[in-house]
Amino acid sequence: MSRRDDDFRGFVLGSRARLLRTATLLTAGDAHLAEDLVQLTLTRVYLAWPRIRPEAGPEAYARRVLVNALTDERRRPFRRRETSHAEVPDTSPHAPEGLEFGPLHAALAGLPPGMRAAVVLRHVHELSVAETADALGCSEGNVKSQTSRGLDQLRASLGGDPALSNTSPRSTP
Amino acid sequence: MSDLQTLLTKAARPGPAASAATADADLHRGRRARTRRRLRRGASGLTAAALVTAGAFALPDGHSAPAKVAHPVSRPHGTVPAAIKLVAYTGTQPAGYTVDSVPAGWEIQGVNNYVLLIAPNGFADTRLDSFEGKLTVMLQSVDQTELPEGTPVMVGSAHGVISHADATAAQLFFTDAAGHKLDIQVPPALRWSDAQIARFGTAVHVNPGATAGRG
Repeated sequence: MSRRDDDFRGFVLGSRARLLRTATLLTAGDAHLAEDLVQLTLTRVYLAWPRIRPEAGPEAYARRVLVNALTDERRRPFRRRETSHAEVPDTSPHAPEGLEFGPLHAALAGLPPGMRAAVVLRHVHELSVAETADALGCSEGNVKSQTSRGLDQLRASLGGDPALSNTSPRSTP
Repeated sequence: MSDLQTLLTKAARPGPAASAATADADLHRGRRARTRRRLRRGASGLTAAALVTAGAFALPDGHSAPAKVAHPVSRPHGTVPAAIKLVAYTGTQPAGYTVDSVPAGWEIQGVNNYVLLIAPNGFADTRLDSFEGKLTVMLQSVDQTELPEGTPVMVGSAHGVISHADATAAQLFFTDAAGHKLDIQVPPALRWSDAQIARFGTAVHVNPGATAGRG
């Protein structure tokens, strides 16, 4: 096995679980689509491996690829799995695991993909506004507005629980 | 769960780490994708470039030049095929590359400024952007920044490596005396040893105008 293969395999062992969970949130709990996206992402990461700057980190690169893969997936009309509903369902239509997050996944499903990605990257991965903008390929202003509106919608979807109003965005830009 | 942030963080908590089998499967997918990309490399860029620049690098007949084989190989019936021997090449030399020898029974199938293809006489797939089953000479991709890994070999006086990472072709990487970084792909059909692959490397010469591809 070459050093490239060794390094990549080590990266997969160390980062795949995090990528899969991120993908699960980005797909609003669709575990099957999340697995597909992670496989696609890792394949693209492998192809780009020699060009990934060590200081940037392969996981950050992989997250960006993952978001792009999700965007590509959404553009494939025959693969669209998400539909808009006036009301959020009681439970997630997916999520064979982590049933406790069913309501969260259902609420995330109600967000447009870009808004969902902004929320996940900012408030789950704690990326800065600039890092999130870079990952999503949009302006920092767009990230701020998408994140703010996304959080508002999540709170509303989750029943307006006052406890949920205590969302604390990271303090750094 | 006291707040939305906590809920999001908890939902993002990773599950069990990937198993070794899962990592191997991801690695296998990556390798296959790399092989596919290599075989298709130029399907867009190389072909487009070939259409633009074919005039400068095409062989006299426009597509290929038959290799005049000096010593065709005869195989005793019923024996395991031996490695195909290199024989002197006496045909018309392509513009981008010069070759001193070719495998017996093989011919220069086509060439442009990106790639030189040598294939069995009459090989059905004559596409310049299809490398599978062909002896392929090109410069290393400009996107290839890492030193390729493989078995160290000497190509004449140059240090090279041969990679057998992909089943579809062995790859010889070396830098010639003029500084050209060569990538020679050798299909299994030739049944060449590393020494034979390296020997072919010494028979290849890069002429001005040869261009490295991307990807």
